[in-house]
Amino acid sequence: MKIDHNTYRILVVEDNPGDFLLVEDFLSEHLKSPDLTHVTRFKSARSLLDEYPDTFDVILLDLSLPDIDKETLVTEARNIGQTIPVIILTGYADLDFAVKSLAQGVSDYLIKDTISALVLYKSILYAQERHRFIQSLRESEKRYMDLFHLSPTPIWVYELDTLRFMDVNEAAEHHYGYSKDEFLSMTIRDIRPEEEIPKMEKTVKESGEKAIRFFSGVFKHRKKNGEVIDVEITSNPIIFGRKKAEIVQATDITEKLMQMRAIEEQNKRLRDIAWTQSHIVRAPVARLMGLIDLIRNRETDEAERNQYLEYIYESAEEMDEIIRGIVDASQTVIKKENQ
Amino acid sequence: MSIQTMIVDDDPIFAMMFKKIIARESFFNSPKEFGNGLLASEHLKSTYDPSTSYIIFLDINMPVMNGWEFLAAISEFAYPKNTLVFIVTSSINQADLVRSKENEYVIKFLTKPILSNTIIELKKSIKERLAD
Repeated sequence: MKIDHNTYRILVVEDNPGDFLLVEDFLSEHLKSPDLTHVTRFKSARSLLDEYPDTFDVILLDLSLPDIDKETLVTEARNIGQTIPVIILTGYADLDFAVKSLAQGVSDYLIKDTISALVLYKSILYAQERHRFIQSLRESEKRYMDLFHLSPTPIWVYELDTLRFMDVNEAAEHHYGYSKDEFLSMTIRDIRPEEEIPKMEKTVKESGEKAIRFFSGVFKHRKKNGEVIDVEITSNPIIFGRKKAEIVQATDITEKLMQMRAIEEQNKRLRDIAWTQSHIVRAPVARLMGLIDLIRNRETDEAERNQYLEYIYESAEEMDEIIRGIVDASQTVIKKENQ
Repeated sequence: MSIQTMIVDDDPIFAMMFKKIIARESFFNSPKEFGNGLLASEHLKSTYDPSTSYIIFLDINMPVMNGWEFLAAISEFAYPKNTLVFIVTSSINQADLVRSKENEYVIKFLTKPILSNTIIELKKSIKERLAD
């Protein structure tokens, strides 16, 4: 006879002393040192579990206990089963309940009259393995759901045929101002300004039909408060709830675009200044040089000289005005920069 | 062979100075003045004679029709062979210089001010070109 040397901490909830003895007997056949805790009421089991949630590896639960009806017990067993595997012990009479409890998340049920040491041992072993497996599956599922729901970027899934939202994450709720329930009663048309809808429908049709992966583009969206934002969309096809759908990530680039526009405007102003420098500023300077050249290198009478001096003064004045203009333009650039 | 000199510039002081500088060279006899490209191109179109040589001193930055637009306008009727254009501008913008090199009428890109000795060299290069 094979003896398992691992320690099993087992809570037995059984009000019938004979049945408990039997269970104890069977367990000792395959387990070197079963660590048994025996209670006869569900209430005691409940308070034990509440107080020491991590104390037990498995629970053997009699379905007919004096302090709880079977219906409620099955529900309770399901709750407990979320954290500790539960094996229900029952008689033939309660077979229906037992089967139902399986569907609700109980690990196994054993008919008392047919229990043998081996059956009980195997059931405990399987229950633990299955529990561990389900637990890791749940963790992985939660991890991936968290990636969706806790992503700082708004993400949603919409159905291709109806354009209805099928799921949205918290960032989408937060950014667009709609609650999840509101989203789920809307289509992706409802987060767009009227005039953007034809463009969106065309894009959905094209990218949806061809099932384009990693589609990206820039669109305008409208929040619940009416604010229109520029968003960069990336999307991928996905089968969601057996429907053809798209998973969409929307990054708000309104501010980025505004900054870019401001920079472009700024550049234009600087280009204007540079153009003025080369075309306008040099004109009076060149004229001044020419006039001085005339006075120096030509024979001139007094009337001519006076005329030239007048021109020189006019050119200097013109330059003064141009320089003031440049200073004003530069100040506009600086002011815009400080805003 | 007759030579017709044209000054196209919106700055009357520059035009006056330029006339003074070229006055000594009888080569540029009685230059005609135009305040913008449109006046100049209309005059050239109505009086254009393929046997006359035209020497045009052209400013770029002008109201109504600028220097580039003038060059585009005359390309519809004038031959580069007898229409020699000198860009005379206060611009020291590299882009203007590059653009002028690509134009078939433009012989040279001159930056203001135009001083007396520039004209002597200019006359030499024009004579060589017309003799070709």
